[in-house]
Amino acid sequence: MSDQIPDHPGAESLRAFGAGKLEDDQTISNLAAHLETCHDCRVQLQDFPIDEFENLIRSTGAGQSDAGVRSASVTGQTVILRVSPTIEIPDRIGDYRILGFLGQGGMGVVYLAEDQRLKRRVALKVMKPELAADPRARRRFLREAQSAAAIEHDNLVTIFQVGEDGELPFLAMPLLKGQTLDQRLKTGPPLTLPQIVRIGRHAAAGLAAAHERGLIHRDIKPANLWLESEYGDRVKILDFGLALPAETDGHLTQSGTVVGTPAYMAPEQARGEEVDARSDLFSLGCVLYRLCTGHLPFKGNTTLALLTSLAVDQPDPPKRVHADIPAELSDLVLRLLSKNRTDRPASARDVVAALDACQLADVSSAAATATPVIVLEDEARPDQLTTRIARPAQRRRPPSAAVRIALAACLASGLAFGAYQLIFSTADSTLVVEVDDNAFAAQFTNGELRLTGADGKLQYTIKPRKADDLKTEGPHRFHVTTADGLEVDTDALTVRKNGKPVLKVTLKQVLDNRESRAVAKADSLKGDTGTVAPRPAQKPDQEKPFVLLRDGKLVREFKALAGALAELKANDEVVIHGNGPFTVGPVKVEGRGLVIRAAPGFRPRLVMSESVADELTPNPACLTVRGALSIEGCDLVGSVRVRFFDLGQGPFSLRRCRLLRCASIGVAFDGNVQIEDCLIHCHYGLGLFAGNVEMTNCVAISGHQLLTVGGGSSVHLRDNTLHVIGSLITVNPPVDGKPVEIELKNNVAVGVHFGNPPALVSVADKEWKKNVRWKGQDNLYAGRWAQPYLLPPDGKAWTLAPDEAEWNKIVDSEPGLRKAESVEFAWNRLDMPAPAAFASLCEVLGDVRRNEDLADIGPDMDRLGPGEPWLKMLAEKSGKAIPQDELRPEAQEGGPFVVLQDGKIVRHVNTLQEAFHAATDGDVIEIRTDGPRPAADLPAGKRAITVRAAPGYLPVLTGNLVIAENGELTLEGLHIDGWIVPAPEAHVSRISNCSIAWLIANTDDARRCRIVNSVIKTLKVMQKDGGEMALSGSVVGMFDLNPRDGTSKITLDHCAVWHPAPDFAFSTFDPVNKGTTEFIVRDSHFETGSVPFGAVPMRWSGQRNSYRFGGSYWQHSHGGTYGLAGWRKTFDSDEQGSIVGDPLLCDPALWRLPIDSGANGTASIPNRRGANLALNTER
Amino acid sequence: METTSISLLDQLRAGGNDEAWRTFDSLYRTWLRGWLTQRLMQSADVEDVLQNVMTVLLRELPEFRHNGRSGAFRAWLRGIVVNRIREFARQSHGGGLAGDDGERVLGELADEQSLLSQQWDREHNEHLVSQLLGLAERDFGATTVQAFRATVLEGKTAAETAAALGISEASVWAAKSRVLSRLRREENLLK
Repeated sequence: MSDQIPDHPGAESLRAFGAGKLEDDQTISNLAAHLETCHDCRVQLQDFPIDEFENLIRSTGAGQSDAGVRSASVTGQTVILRVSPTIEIPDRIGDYRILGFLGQGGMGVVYLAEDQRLKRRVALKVMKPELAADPRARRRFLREAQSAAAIEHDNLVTIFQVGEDGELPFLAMPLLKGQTLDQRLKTGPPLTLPQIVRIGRHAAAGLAAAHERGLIHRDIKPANLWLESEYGDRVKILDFGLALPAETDGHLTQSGTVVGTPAYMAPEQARGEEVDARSDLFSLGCVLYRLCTGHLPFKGNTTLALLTSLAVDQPDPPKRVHADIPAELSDLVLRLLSKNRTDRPASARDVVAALDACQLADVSSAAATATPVIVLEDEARPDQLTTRIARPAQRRRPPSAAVRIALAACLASGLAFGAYQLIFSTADSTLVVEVDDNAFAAQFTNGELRLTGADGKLQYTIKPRKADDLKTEGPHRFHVTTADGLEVDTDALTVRKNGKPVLKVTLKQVLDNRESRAVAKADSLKGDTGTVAPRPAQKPDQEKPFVLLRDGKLVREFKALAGALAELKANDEVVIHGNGPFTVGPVKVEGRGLVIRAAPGFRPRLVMSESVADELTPNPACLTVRGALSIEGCDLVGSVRVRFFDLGQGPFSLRRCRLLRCASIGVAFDGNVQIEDCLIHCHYGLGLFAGNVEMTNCVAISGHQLLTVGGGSSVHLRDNTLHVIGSLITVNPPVDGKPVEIELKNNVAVGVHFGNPPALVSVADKEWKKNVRWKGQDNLYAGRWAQPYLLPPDGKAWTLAPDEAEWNKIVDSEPGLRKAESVEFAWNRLDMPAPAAFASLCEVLGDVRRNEDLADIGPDMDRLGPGEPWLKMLAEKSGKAIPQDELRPEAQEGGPFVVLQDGKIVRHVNTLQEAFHAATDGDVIEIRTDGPRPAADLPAGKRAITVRAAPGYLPVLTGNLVIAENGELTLEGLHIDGWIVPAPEAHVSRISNCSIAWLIANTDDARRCRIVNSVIKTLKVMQKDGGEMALSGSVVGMFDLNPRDGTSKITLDHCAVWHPAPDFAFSTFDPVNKGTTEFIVRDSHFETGSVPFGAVPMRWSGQRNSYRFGGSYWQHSHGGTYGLAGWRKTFDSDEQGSIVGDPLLCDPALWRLPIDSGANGTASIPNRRGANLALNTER
Repeated sequence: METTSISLLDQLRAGGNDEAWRTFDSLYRTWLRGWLTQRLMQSADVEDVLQNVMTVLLRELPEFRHNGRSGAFRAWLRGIVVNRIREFARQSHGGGLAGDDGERVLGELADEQSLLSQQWDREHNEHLVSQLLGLAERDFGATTVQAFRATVLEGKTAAETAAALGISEASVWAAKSRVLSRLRREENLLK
């Protein structure tokens, strides 16, 4: 071979040369010199196959003089139809006359055409000319089409003819009636379970036929599954346009070429690896998952996010999302979605068999074969009313797979009797009828459900109130006729026999398929209760929403909770039929338990009374309960300050609640506390003197710590996502020398770094080894976590435990431990790409401004920042638009930094540093470039220097800008990606229309700082007595306040403080600060984790501000206080202040784990609770 | 010579390279203007939107990472253009869009599968390759680029090309290799 002759370059070098992969020019020259004399190598070069990149370049056809040449090869005929301004349609291809445009797939355009010989209309798929230009692609297209044409199967689209017109391959297919599954999902009513199973079975059968001939589809998705309306929605798989014969795969595709649709793609396919039949099965699993649950198993706004989800996420079992889904189907879907293909069913045939087992036959086959499970499907009116009747096995028959499914559905309904379950569903309502089949026989006739008693007599007839009632939106009722002639319209009915319910009918309003399931998930976070939560807004609050129930029976209805509590007896329940908001407390319940829960269809918002702390009750409770306390399905707003005394009467439990603006959850003495399926957004979490805490499947975001427990307590945290700043668990000194038992299992714990890294435990004495028993398993610790913090005996400051290694050993030996230390959370939304950050801000301000009193709040976004807004401000200043010829003045020779003296150009230089040196006091440095340029230091003593963008430019300065002693600077229209650091006796006097990452602002009685229309990510304010700083129309991410002495002033006018993080937006923790900051704040918006302040000695005078915050604890020199009411009372200010909406921090996008697949061994995250709560946006 | 072997994206990423920005601007501004004026907008507003697009690119290009999917850059760029136009239309209460079906056209452009998007993708590559070949001509001379065009774009053999241009076959191969290498440098924008 030539590559063994020393004089010849190796084949690889030659190949690299031919493919343009050599960068070194000398190497190219040497090879060319060799080629001059070597015929063999030239031949070899010519024989190398053309690589992917070269093909890509060739396919652009760039630089060819006749741009029409590509379409000219299609046909010389005239164009008959224009679909889009640029797409031309030929009027004839092969023997087909083109009549119109139908759509397009990955490789081809599909036309409506007529076969001229047979006068038959067909769908003609024609390869795109630009792709057909590549002979290999053309070959591939033909080959696939021929392979597909060779298979005849009911579930594969038939191919009449494969041909070529010139160099354009095409194929003719029958014109199918119906629609794609994709269209069906977008426009039709929800699919019923039998429909889902049937679609899956058909698709699997079609795939089986193709796979058995070695054909892989590679792009199974709803848009490629056709529902043929003439044949009862028979599925035909479309578009083998991406499919390749399996055995020739390696030869025809480029390695690493990813084909397919990301949302439905198997992991191996996404990685660009070789695909096989099982990759199609994965895609089918995605389709089925979507059909079962209403959403995709893997999600992401971007392809990258999607592929990350694909690699990392374990989707929830469909039956958890929707209890109707039989366990077998749910399991099958999960097996199809196995990341490892060997874990998937071995073949499409196996999937067909598995689905056969799930397939709940239609009426006729059920009757014919006496299948013990009967599913009636009202096909006559598929878009109006669908009824399913699932019956359990007759006991004589051996249970089949299908029987288990029906039973599973019944068990999942959570009802003891549920022997029959009938579901009428329409677009927005579900009527669920549960019947004990020992008491009744059920028959569905003519749109009515007839229940016959054991004596054979008709007992009840149940039907929609009006014939078309279930077709329309709105609250529905149903009509019941009893044997003795009583007729009633109602939305709920329970019939009891000997105290046991034997018939239960409930009507639930649901949203469309996707939404209803989303809400179901949100409502039952864990998804295992099987309830479908109705849209709260659809049901108006009842006039007396607080319903007191005793032994399940209504006692009385009340307008307020207090009324119900006054009549409360032991074991009573208060059920709330309304969304509120309702103010709660202060309430005392002694000697009785208290159960508060939401009625189905409501999510009551209970606002905890904001009683202000005084000397006698520094921490007044909203609820004082001696006995059990249980709250379920409510939003609790404000601090849930519960005094809870467990006297052996039962636990304190919170289920499916959201806790917002919460300083602390409560104080429980010796209690058993159970918190499940909750979103908790607090500052200080739960305090417990001694007792047992169980927290399961919650998302908790804490601005400080999550749990405080006394000695002898035990803590069990399972399946939670926990975001913590201070410490996860604070342990008080032991009682009677008993240690605290802490068990963490299957949690994601995220350490949010704020000054110091958080600790898993803080111990109020030095004895952590003696007082803490730590047991962890299968946890993922993200971010940085410190060893325990200890409070030394002097009690002054927490310090890190000295025995770090010992602690690390305990954590590092946890079974199933995963760590992702590099994970950092960009809580400060100004870190986001600006458009995203500002889109959120605009949205929030829009919400706030809808309030008439606050219509003018926050910055004017059109004037904010550099670029266009700066130009606008310049125009306003000069009173006229900047003339076109003054925009973007050219940089002259010398460079884009122009030094202007009294408006006249003195010098052009290339760097800011040179410009600073050239400038004298009062000069302006104008930057005439958009490119990033290094920042520079302002030399000592230069004063009144202005650096600004030339009109029309957006200059970017990178790196730090240090202002030396006595320097003074003005900045206009710049983006500065770095720090601005003035020396102690230097300052920035004015900033207009800039965006700046970090700014240190010095002010004292001689130095002021004014910031206008600017965005400052972090603003460190160094103030001395008399210092003044004024911000208007600006956005600040975070204030680090340092009032050194005396009194200094900060004015905020039409600003936004934008810090949706668990911590404070204004803080100072430096003990050097001895001064007080006086705030004058008008028309500004605060989006913060806690109420904005932490440890700042201040005075506050506010007018017309809006506050949205998570935790509600704030701190000033007098100590801690809670809530806006306390704020108002303390400062006698902000009467017009208002809270509008829930804080952005409730947006799950903010606490989603930013973990890439495989990073630090976290490819498989054990806990996806965050994802479970991701849908919890509707309250 | 070292620096020129770095791709435009990497140069932008490294920061502080005004030349790279100018190159990028010259490669894209005219082409984007063409799309905006001819298909997407009323011409009066084009310059505003174009400036916004370029501003966003200026800010975000250094952050762009090719995810390996075909057309990642083109799609990313398309997304920015669509968003900027939508943003502009929102601010000007629907103004600026081309005709009544402006939103439909935008929707098409936002949809990866649409004909319009494919048109965009095709024209993007065609335009970019033409531009890059122009730059290559400046550096390597006209004959080199002609040889490249003949072999790669027109599919002629090295022998045919050599005969047509009156140079040696080896020179044709060297020309192809050099120019292809230069294009390959900007692979992330093209692939």
